[in-house]
Amino acid sequence: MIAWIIIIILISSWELYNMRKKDLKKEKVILIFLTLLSLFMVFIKSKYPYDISIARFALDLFGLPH
Amino acid sequence: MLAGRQKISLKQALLIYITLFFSPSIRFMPSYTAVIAKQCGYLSPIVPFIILLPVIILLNKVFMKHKDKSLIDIYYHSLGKTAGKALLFLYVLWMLLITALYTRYYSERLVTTVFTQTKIDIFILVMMVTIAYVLKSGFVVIARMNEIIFPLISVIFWSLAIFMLPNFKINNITPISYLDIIPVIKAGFGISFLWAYIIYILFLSDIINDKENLMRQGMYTLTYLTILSSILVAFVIGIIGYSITAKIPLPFMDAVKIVSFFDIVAKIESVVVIIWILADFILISTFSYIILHLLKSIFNLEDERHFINIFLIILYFLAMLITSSKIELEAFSYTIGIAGNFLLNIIIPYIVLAIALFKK
Repeated sequence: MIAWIIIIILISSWELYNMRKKDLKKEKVILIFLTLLSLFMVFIKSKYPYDISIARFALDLFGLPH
Repeated sequence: MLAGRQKISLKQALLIYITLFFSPSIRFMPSYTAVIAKQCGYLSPIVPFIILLPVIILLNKVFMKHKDKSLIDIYYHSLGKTAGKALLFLYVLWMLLITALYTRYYSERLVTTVFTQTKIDIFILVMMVTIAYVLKSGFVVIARMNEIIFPLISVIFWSLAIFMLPNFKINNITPISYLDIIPVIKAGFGISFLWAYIIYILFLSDIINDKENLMRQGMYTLTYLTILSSILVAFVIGIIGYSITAKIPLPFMDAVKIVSFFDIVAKIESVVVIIWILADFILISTFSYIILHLLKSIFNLEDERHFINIFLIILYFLAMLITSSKIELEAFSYTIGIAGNFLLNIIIPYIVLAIALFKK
């Protein structure tokens, strides 16, 4: 988990630095959103490594057998 | 000579479309058609041809009418900017989900066939790193890579088809009667979304040249795909029979395992793994590029390349979180996957293109 957090923060910081040079404002906002989303996914995957299944959730939602 | 260095030709785009088709069709089509249409499963690819032919005609007419517009612009023109962007955002979410699904299938397949002792995330990571490196160079590089990968896949596939001939039993694909018409149509509807991936490819129409040839080249491509998939299903059912094809997870692999060409060529199933990995690479990288391209258009971004790395990390985690078992994965793609693809790739494009054709 720690390794993933470090990788994500490093990549995002590098991209934000590049965006600052080009003055890309909207891109910065979207990148921050995507970074937070990826950090959330890292947290979910680490906390519940085998419990979460998007497919199962969708199948249950539509009442389909699995 | 292409007008811009960052543009691809229609021929290159359609070759990518055929390559995209390989991996899901090999995995999904024989077993799905065998369950519904039984021994006549190989006739069901005719139905998608009939369904998609009007889409090609509509696309051609719309592109002729709006010569300067891309397919994304046509969506905005037909539905209005806000509704168009909302619909395209829905496409982004759906494509993200199915790209994660295909990524998971790719690694599951490797783990269940060749590398049974290896962890699944290793293969996903390797694929993501490769795609990140290629996507940085733009879509032209993927198109050029596909110009090498496509002939390789085709040669391997048609060679396998020839090697399969001695094991082919005509009794397995007969009899055919009028009672098979409804099952064949049902199975045809289920597999038609694979043909409709042309809509995704044409989301890149602003970087595709010579779209005026879409009618002719599109027809050739549709015909080729129909013949290819009919032969694929016919050989699998013809070798192992429809009842076994319907029950096993990778029937094409099992059909290839039986192949022995005059005792000279044997154990060639590893070749199938190679074409699968190559086709998956093109599929995942193309879909990733299309998602980023759609995001660029929806949010009016100047440069989407800054998101490649972080997007692929999200895709990695989505592929890991999409399912906890292969049974769920298959249940999802056989039900919600087919329905969602049919809605977004066939029904909605029909409506949007019809509006675009009549709207001034």
